[in-house]
Amino acid sequence: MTGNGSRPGTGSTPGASSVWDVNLRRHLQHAGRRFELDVRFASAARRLVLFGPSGAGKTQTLRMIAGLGTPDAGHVRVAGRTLFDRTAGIDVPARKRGMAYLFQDYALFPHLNVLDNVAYGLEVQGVPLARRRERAARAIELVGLGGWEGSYPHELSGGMQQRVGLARALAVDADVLLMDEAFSALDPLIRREMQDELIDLQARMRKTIVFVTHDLDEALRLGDRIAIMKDARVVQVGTPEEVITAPADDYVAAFVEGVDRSGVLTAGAIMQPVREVARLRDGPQTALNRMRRSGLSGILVVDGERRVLGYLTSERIVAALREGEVTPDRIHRELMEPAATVATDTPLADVITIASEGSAPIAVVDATGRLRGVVVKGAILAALARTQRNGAGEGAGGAPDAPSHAGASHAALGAHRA
Amino acid sequence: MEGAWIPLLLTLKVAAWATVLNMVAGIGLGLLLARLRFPGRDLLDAVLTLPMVLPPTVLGYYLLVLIGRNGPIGAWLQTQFGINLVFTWQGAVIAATVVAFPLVFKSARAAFEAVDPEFEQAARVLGRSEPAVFFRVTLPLAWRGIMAGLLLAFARASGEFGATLMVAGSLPGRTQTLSIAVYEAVQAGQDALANFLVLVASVTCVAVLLAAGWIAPGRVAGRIAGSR
Repeated sequence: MTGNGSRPGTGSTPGASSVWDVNLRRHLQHAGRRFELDVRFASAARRLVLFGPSGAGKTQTLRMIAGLGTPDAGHVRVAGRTLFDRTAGIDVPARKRGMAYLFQDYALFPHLNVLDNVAYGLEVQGVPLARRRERAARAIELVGLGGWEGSYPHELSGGMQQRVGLARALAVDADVLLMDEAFSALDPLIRREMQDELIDLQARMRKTIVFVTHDLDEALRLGDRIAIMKDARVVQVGTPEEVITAPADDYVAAFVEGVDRSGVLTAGAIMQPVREVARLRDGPQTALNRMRRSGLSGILVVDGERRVLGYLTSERIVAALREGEVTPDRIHRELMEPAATVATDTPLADVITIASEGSAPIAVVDATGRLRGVVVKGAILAALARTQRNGAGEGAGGAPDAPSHAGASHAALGAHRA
Repeated sequence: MEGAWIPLLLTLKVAAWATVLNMVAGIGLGLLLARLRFPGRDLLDAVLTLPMVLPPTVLGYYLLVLIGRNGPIGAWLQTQFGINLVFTWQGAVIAATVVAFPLVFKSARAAFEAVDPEFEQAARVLGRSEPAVFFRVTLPLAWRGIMAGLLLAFARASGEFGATLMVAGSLPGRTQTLSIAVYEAVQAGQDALANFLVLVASVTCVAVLLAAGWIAPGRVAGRIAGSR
């Protein structure tokens, strides 16, 4: 789940292992100022989010991936297929890239009804009319617009229009879906619903999606990798967790400062290494000594394969020893309390619920049930409150630790763009 | 009054040809100027709009100089194909076409400029080739504006007088269009014929204008979709 994100610049080698290998440069003119878009990233993401403020170059990047704009230099490779390569003279036209594009303002053909809009892309594929209509009707059904086939776009609400756009993209069965701020014009409730549906669709239909957004919550919800853009550059590519727990620079840190971490962070991201464990054969006195040595009030008991058996408090051992109800050679199971355990990918929000039910540390186990770490209440609070810096001294000095500084940093960023 | 139908039919024939020629030229040049940026674009736009502001007789004189027997185009047509346009109904078509051209060109350019390029991009990403994008997206979306221009051009061409008279003259039964016939009838003192011709011309023009008003403004996109 972690550690597979790549930093910009690492993706210059083509490879089937990487879904995205993008390296493109283009001179742009924006508000009378010339600047160079220079985007490089490689990622194996199936749901890649391009995130950044408006003017960062997200849409331009997406357009060049789609073939709607031509880079001055560089290459674009998707799933091992070279779509653009300046030096090799390759430039596959948009219509042959096999991608579907969802525009921010839908771009539904106003002169065609819903059915014809959705069926439009199928004509080219040589599908006979009856099959076209059938496939279009199925896509319309899929996005929940059954019964609206005969309506014209201007008769539909924004949310419905974007559903038609989605159906049009799904009907052609393109492997890659490019979505430019596709949900930005929708009201929050419908937006959330569409996000869930998209994740669901992607999982069911195994599409590869690039989603452009300037909304961090949306980015964290939708992406399995997030590429963060700033001033026409990609400054970090990583999983939502990596972006939040290890921002590449102050810019990213300032962005993720205010985000609701509980839905993104997992137990695995905030767990601490287990300093001491006890085994059944260790005996109560040994366990007690270990706890005292580490200043702990309790200890997790594991078996030979580090599977969690239970939790032992110092209080309980002391009482048991005093009353002589234990043999010194092993820990009896009746001494232990059941240990609260969570998986490494359990969302922090769920960990919080469990933590609120007891005071013992929560054991974090991997898929095979082996103990990986512990989560203590303090770590949860720390994770919710601030970003843990990944390596001191990274980025420029004057790191914005306080929220007020973060705000100032946002403002400075805006001025930078203007 | 029998004689009134001949100039009417001739007028409709000339105006129809002028409209068809303008449909091709006006759409082509309108698209060119709407979508391409090149040096001299504004100058070309001005030249192409000129027929709308020049006095028709001045325009007719220019045409006569160009396609007359001794004109550069006229002499070439004569030697290469043995074609003579002056004082023929084809000459009247040329005159009417040039006079009405800016109406189609201007409408088409504005209509193409009003088509959001995003629709074309959407079609491209969906796999459409450039000709398919034009005929299935750009043209249908611009069609209403172009259609309005074509109807106005038809009306203008059927009422043409000055340039037509200069180029094609007034040969009864051959180049004498309705508006010229009215002039001739009045000059000859044939008031009854003049009255009848004027009535026919007026009714025709009102019908065309009504058609233009009915097709052009305020109709929902869905109605145009019917003309796909």
